[in-house]
Amino acid sequence: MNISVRCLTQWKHERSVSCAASNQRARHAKCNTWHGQPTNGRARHQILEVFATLIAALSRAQRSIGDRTSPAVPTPFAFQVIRGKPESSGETFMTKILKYILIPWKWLQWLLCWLFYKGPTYDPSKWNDNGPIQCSNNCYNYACDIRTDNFAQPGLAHGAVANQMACADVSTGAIADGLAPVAATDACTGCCHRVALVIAPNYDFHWYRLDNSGFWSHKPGSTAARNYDNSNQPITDPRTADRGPYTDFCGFYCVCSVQIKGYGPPPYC
Amino acid sequence: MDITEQDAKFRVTIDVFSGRPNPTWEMTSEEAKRLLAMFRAVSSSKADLVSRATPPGLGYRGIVVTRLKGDETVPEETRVFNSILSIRKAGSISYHEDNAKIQEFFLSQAKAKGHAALIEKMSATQRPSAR
Repeated sequence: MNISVRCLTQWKHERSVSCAASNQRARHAKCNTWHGQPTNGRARHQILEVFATLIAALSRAQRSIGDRTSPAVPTPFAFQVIRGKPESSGETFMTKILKYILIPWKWLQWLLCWLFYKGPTYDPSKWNDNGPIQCSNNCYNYACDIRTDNFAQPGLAHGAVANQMACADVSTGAIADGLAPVAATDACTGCCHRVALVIAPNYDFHWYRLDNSGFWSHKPGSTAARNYDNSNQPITDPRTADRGPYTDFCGFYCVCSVQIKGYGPPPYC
Repeated sequence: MDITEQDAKFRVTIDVFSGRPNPTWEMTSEEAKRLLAMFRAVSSSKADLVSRATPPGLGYRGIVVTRLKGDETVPEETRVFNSILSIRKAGSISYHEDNAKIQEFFLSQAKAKGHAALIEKMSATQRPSAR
């Protein structure tokens, strides 16, 4: 029997036994609700069936790898997931989904990123339209790899916009947006990439980002994105690049999950 | 006076910032008339000025004058940097020596609006320092 069908059958059996044991009201509350709302039992089972198939496929892959490497294969993960614990354990349907499916899925994503993600790809055509996209997205948009078309300002999305153009102020805003400071020697793991903040004291900020090529790139204001510095040299380290008047190097940050915004597109865009 | 001079309207932008929006203002009709007169005095274009007209990525990148109103005889956009004019008209760009002193004209306007220190500071090309 296909493992997904077997798992689902057993899960359904346990669930029906558990529901039958309780009274009618309890069955309605436990077995026929979705996120606290009444729902169609068949639809719920269909959703679970999709999850079961997905997890089982992952488990099959896991087992086939295990078969080749070790004869002693533990109980498939999918089986544990779908079978779950009896209703009497106090777990709700949603906590089961979270605990056994969504959270492991996040871990899987993290693992895939950890294994394969090496930062954004340098693709200036995404930004350099010589028109509204190029004009209304700045260095912060580019470094975070998020188009907002309103000249994003560090901290503005979280009420922490810098009052002064100084490392501490701009950094505070960026951290409020979700950027995480990181030491020069530490890597940004998971689905994250590395950026760097520099300041022209009292006047402006600027950001660089590390691409999967191993080189840094940036987008000075409304101008085109590029991967060379003011001396037309490739940027191997923003600390030593020719940065013109942006003389203060503030530090490195990891961009994982951030939220940024600006006041609006500049009037000249 | 032709219809172009009556109707022309320009926005001036100091192209200088990377993170913050650039300072910008609109020219008065008197200033617009003076600018149009200067445009007429601009010398013929030279292709070998391209490298001198290209600004650096970071720092002061010149003053950009954008046509907001006016007919096609008026340039759509003019960048003044390093005493070179990059004039975009009817979709094509030509490069000219600034013999009409257009850069001076705009720098004096920028100073009057309190941007002198900004241009001076952001034109600096100091060696980077790590903290």
